[in-house]
Amino acid sequence: MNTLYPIFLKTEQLDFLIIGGGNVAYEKLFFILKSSPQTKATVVAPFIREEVRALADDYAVELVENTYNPEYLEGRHIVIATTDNPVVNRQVYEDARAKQLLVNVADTPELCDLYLGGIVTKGNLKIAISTNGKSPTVAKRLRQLFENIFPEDMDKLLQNLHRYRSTLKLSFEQKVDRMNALTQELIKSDD
Amino acid sequence: MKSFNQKAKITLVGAGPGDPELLTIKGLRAIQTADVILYDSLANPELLDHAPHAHKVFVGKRKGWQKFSQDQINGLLVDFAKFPYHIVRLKGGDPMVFGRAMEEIATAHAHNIPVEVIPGISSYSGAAAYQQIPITERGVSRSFWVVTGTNKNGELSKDLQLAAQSSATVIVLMGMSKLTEIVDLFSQHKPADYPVSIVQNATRPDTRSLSGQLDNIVALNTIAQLGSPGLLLFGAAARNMDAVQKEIAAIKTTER
Repeated sequence: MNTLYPIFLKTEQLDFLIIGGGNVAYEKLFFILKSSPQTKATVVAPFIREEVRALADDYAVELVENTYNPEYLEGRHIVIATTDNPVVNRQVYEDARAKQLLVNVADTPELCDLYLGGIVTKGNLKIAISTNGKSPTVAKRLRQLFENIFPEDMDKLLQNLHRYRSTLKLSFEQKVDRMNALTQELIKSDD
Repeated sequence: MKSFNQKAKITLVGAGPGDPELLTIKGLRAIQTADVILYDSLANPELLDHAPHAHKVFVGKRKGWQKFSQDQINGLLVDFAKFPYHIVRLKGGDPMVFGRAMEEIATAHAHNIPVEVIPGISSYSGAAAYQQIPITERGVSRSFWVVTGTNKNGELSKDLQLAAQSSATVIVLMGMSKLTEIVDLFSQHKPADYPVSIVQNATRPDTRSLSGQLDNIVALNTIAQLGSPGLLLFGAAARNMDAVQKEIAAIKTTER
């Protein structure tokens, strides 16, 4: 059973710290910024990939070219370790836990307080997907599936459905039947 | 939050040949108290479930690509000991049988880190038991050799050439890619009907085995297609069960 509890963070009010500046750091940062472009983040690594630098140019991402040091944890809320050195990743985890910070160590479930799940966004609708760390591939496929299923302008649809529902002068059961019949279209495939 | 061990320690644990229940109780206890586990592709990953909170680091080969060299693994042992941690180095089979354990033990000694070795069941022993092929048998084979198929240059090992001349049961590990050459070598010293068995994925649920003799095992395996990881057993003990039944029947007949 998946006992994880999903929460929706206002990332613009939080400070993210990412240790490591390689592909894994890029991937994490890319998906955070895709969903939450206002995110404030700092990347600390002795070498920082060009792709990460490009993200820093466009978003509120600070780059620090240095090796990890526990002082960088100061004032952070969420820490993500992405280095290819398991000893450094472990050190980050230990230091962050000692400061009661939330930590994610890439590809290391036992060193994670949180997972960055798959995300589907359509207007105001946001769906977070978790496979309990068992299969990122399934999470990715589900994300693609939901992205195709939900129409681009989900907001308008939700508002229209709400308006339509309030015009119905029917019993509760009849309303449910009508709404079910109407929303059936949502899950019909084009082919 | 979990509290960590106050003293660093390295424990080399033999993970056994595949079946996760073939771990020793002592090995299990080491895994359960580990802060970090370094494991490779030969150790059954199900064993890691015994340590839900330990930091697991894969140090083996994946798709032919090696993330950590032996030197880097030794470095990880030393670095993790500085925390200080109880480090379990989980190795397939038995650490002391073709396990490259000595380099890790020497590293621990060089850095004054206490080190312990917990044996595991080697694949030859697991395969023999699960396939019911006794490696020694009264009146049939009185000793055995366990050799690797190739040396580090990829050539047939010299010991294998000596083993092929022995009357002992010979178990060849890591020899599947050289099956034809190894069978040819034995054929130079043994009769065509000398028994041979192949066991792939010993003690795992998907284990497969094949019994034959020197003059047909290669042909049989072109159909069966057994491959790595697998081991070869040469000698009278490796004869198939039908042959054993006939012998036993013959003994009973003469004893009557």
